[in-house]
Amino acid sequence: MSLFTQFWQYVSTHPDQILTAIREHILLLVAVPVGLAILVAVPLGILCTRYRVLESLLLGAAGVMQTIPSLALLSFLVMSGLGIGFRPAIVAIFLYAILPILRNTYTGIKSVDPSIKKAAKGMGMTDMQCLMLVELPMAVPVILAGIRTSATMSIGTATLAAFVGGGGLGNLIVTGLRMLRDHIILAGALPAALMAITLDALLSRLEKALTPRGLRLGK
Amino acid sequence: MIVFENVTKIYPGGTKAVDGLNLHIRKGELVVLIGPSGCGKTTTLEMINRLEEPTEGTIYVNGNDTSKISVVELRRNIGYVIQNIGLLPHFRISSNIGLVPSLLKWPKQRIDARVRELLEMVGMDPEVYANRYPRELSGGQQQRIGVLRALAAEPEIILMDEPFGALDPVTRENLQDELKKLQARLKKTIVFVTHDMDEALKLGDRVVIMKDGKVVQADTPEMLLRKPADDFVRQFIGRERLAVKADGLTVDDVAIKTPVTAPPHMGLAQATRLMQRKHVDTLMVVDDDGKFVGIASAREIEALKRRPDSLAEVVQKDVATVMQGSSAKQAFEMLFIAKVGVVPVIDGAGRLHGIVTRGSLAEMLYQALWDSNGDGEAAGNSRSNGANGQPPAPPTPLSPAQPPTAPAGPASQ
Ligand SMILES: Nc1ncnc2c1ncn2[C@@H]1O[C@H](COP(=O)(O)OP(=O)(O)OP(=O)(O)O)[C@@H](O)[C@H]1O
Ligand SMILES: [Mg+2]
Repeated sequence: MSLFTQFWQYVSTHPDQILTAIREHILLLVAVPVGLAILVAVPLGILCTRYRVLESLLLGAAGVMQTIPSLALLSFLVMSGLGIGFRPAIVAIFLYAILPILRNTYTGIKSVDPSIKKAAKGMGMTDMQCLMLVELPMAVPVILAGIRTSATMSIGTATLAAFVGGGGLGNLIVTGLRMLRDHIILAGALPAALMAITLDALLSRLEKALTPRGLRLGK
Repeated sequence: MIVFENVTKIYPGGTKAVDGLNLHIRKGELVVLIGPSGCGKTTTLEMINRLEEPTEGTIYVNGNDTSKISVVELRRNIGYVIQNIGLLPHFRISSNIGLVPSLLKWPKQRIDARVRELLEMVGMDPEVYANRYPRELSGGQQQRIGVLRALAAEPEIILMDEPFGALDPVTRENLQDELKKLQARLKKTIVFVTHDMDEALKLGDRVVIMKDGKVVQADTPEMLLRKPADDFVRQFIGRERLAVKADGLTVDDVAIKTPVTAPPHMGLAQATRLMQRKHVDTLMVVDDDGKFVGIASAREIEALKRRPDSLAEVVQKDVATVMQGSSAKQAFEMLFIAKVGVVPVIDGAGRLHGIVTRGSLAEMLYQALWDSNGDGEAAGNSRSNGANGQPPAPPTPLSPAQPPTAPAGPASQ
């Protein structure tokens, strides 16, 4: 039996298992932690542009976080009292998702043409108005690009959640590895890869759609 | 209206951008700040709306110490055209122009009406442009919008930082004319920064020349041209000064000081020979006291059938003259509008002091405008070759062809 027929057989005999894995993967291991990361990283990114102290502190901390190997981070989290299951997985993915969003929010705002900021201030905008009416809208494309990076990256990281009992498509991959069944590995890896590609394409569309029209025009 | 009192600005890092500045800008006045790059023009401007805070000294707007006014309040009442236009790219043109009014919470209808009014004022059809984005406009149109944005909330004071920089000369000139017209109508207090001396002299009620954060001279364009305070100013005004200085030129500056003259009793044959020898075709007839009698021209002498004995009989006496010390413009108009061939310059006692011809004028203007070694003062005086009259042929590029209608006959002296 070829690998493909084996794979197909497995998929058709275990649809529930695979669908559950996909659902867990998307909702629990990507949507929740990335959503949380957006809620935390965008405001922090804004704060970084306002306060010099935070700038080096937060961006530095997030950078260091990024360099910790994912399995190591997961283990630390398990040991630190989160136990096994979804919780350490969600926390780890959340921590990884923060940096791209934080950094892009920060650079997106910082790279708004200073003469435009100066004009906005010169017209008598308060700092808040300048942020909400000028800096954030103009930084939207860059911030969205950061979110896209985080989201696609999370799909990959999420496959590791299985090692700490976090479920998702990683379960299939780990099972397959343990049992030396390539088709089971494939049943987890293939959807994960497709999911990453699709999500990337979708978010890139969204990015274009949400970019203010005046910014989309040439130059 | 705006008063700078001993204002100094030192940037973090130690650059002294403005150094003990004292300046009083009156209501309704258009003051131009000009000077070399980095001399502190933008800094001076931005301290008015507190985009920069002075390190020392006080700035008063309408008698109020600006450091004691709410910064947002202050800025909303001062129009500001930033050095690099700074339109908000994600706002439509209408929202860009209506920005300050909407910050001031004008009702929407009033803002819309104001936007239309302003666009129409600069000849941009609101139907076409109001809904566009800045990037859908040309550079010149964007600069117009930048100016309109500053005018929108009808502020008393407008700050303009090189609003017409980086434009082609024609568009630039058009916008300057527009601004001049606007200013004549609206009478705002405008502080205008530029690099361009022509622009400064054209627009400014007063021009403030700055160097290293200090005012070198603050004066009307007229006074600046007439009495530049020092070499820096002179050099900075440069060639343009001489060009514009034509306003202050007198006939003496452009006259040939030693025209070819002859007494009335000179015989005609002798007079003709004199003209040939000196290569001129008119003679200034002057009596023994040096008083101007009239002009004798070769053409008229030849046209006569009967050959009179002396110049006295052919001299044309009803010649238009100019008084010594009068404006060169007067001679200019006689030469080019009344089409007189030569204009004698006489003093109060009627004595001849020189003549102005198209040739002498052209040469003077050449010196003032294009001859970098020439220093306006010497022009005319030093024309020693002009003193002997220029040869009628071949014509030098400086002696324009005489129109055949010249009533007093061609005079190429
Ligand atoms: N934010 C800043 N921080 C430090 N130094 C500054 C800052 N802004 C300006 N300077 C310095 O202050 C001096 C005056 O600058 P300013 O912008 O006022 O010059 P300017 O006359 O407007 O020049 P330009 O004609 O090039 O626009 C310069 O030496 C400049 O480098
Ligand atoms: Mg400047």
